[in-house]
Amino acid sequence: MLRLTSVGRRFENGVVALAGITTQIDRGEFVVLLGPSGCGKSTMLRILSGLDAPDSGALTWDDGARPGPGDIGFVFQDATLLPWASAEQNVFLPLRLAGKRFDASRAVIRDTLAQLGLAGFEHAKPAALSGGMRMRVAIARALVSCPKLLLMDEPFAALDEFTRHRLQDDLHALWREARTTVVFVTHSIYEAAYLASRILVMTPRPGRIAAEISCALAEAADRRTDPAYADLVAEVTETLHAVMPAC
Amino acid sequence: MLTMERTAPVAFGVLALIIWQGAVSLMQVPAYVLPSPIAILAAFWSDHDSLLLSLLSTLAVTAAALIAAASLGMVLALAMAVSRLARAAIQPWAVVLQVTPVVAIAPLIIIWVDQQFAALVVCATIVAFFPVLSNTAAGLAATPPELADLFRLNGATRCQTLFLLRLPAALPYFLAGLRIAGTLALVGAVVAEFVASSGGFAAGLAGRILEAGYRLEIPRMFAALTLLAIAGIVIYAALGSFERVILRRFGAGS
Ligand SMILES: Nc1ncnc2c1ncn2[C@@H]1O[C@H](COP(=O)(O)OP(=O)(O)O)[C@@H](O)[C@H]1O
Ligand SMILES: [Mg+2]
Repeated sequence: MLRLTSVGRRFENGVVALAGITTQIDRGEFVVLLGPSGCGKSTMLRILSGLDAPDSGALTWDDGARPGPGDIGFVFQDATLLPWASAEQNVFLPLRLAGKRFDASRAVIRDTLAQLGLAGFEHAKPAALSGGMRMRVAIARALVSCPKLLLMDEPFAALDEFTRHRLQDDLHALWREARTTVVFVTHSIYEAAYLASRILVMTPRPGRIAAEISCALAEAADRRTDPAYADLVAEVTETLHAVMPAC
Repeated sequence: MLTMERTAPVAFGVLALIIWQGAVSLMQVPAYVLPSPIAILAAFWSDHDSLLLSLLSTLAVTAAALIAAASLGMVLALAMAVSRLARAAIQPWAVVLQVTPVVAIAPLIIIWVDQQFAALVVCATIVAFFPVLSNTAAGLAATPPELADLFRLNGATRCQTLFLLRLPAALPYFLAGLRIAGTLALVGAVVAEFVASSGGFAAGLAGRILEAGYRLEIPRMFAALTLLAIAGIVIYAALGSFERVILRRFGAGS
């Protein structure tokens, strides 16, 4: 779907956030960027989204894959909903910005909210929702325009463990069904191993891809207790220890 | 505990009034130096028609100035948010108007603006508009960057970003500015009235205060002052409740 060739990004203050990133992202993959804080994961997502541009190397999209408005869904660590708008109005936002009318979009919005387990909460304002539910609204908002690429920047890092597990399960189920291409950033080994079809391990300053791990975890519902999952966690941990500089 | 905290200011005020009344009667302070609370109340009662009419006049100036300040501050802040050139052009002049004492420019404005009421409103607006302008401008500049990114990713036009994101996000800032502007409008109105009174226009409470001063009717002066203080408190509290109600309905409360 897209290829990155020696992508580098150096900020005005001299910080080299990314250097020599070469990889590719295929259609339908669930790529997890795993690395410690400050290794350039967010910068990488911003470059993939087009919000930021590399200052060396190149980002090459396949024919017809170059994203236009609404082709990229972005989920941040905070839900960043419009506090004055209801759940359905928040989900409507990308469609509204594309010039669609609410009446014509109502069915899509309902369906997307229902997919994320928010049926019945259409009219709730963000302040009335829990952290996990707010994140669900944010994911619905990112998915409502059927993006070609879904970018998620540590979306579950601020949630408690139980809520996080539920959201991971639901996100993975959604991905298995729709096979949207996802690039997901996290600093949790467990999260990476649980969600990814491929993990890119990043090292800090300058951010580089130090290792790549393909994950062929059974796509069963009880993967969390599957011995293969424990093995994968062990493999990722070993890889991390091997490539990470001491701090 | 909470109810005690609520009633504490009232209890303190009543206590102070009692001590004031007691001290004035005990030490036989003459009324032209410091009238007792009861003397002030009596002065108000004997002249309430004229005092209340003057209060109404002052409040009319205040209300008109507040509306003008809210609109002017909002429009200027919008212009500054939309165009850097407008920001560069407006900002220094807004500060100049803000730091120039209104007492100093009021005589000029009263000469320039023929209609007395309008002249007073202009003076009070100059005093009141700055907090609306600076708060709204700060609010328009403080749009959450991630939401701004989201709008960009979805191809939002400048107009869409302004009306669907930046303006609603600035509403709490605007309302906080409005609350400050309310009391400033009253202050500006009274200051302008003082200046205008020397030119013969004395419909407002400032006119009553000056008049009472000339005639050494100190209790009446205190009555007018008390009305002003009450008006200030009521305006501040009313705008505070207005702010809370709007923010709650807006869903941004908490
Ligand atoms: N706009 C910016 N200007 C300057 N430095 C930045 C900017 N954004 C990020 N950085 C720096 O680049 C490095 C990588 O940041 P980031 O991509 O946010 O890392 P991560 O998301 O992996 O924690 C950090 O050291 C950060 O301080
Ligand atoms: Mg980050």
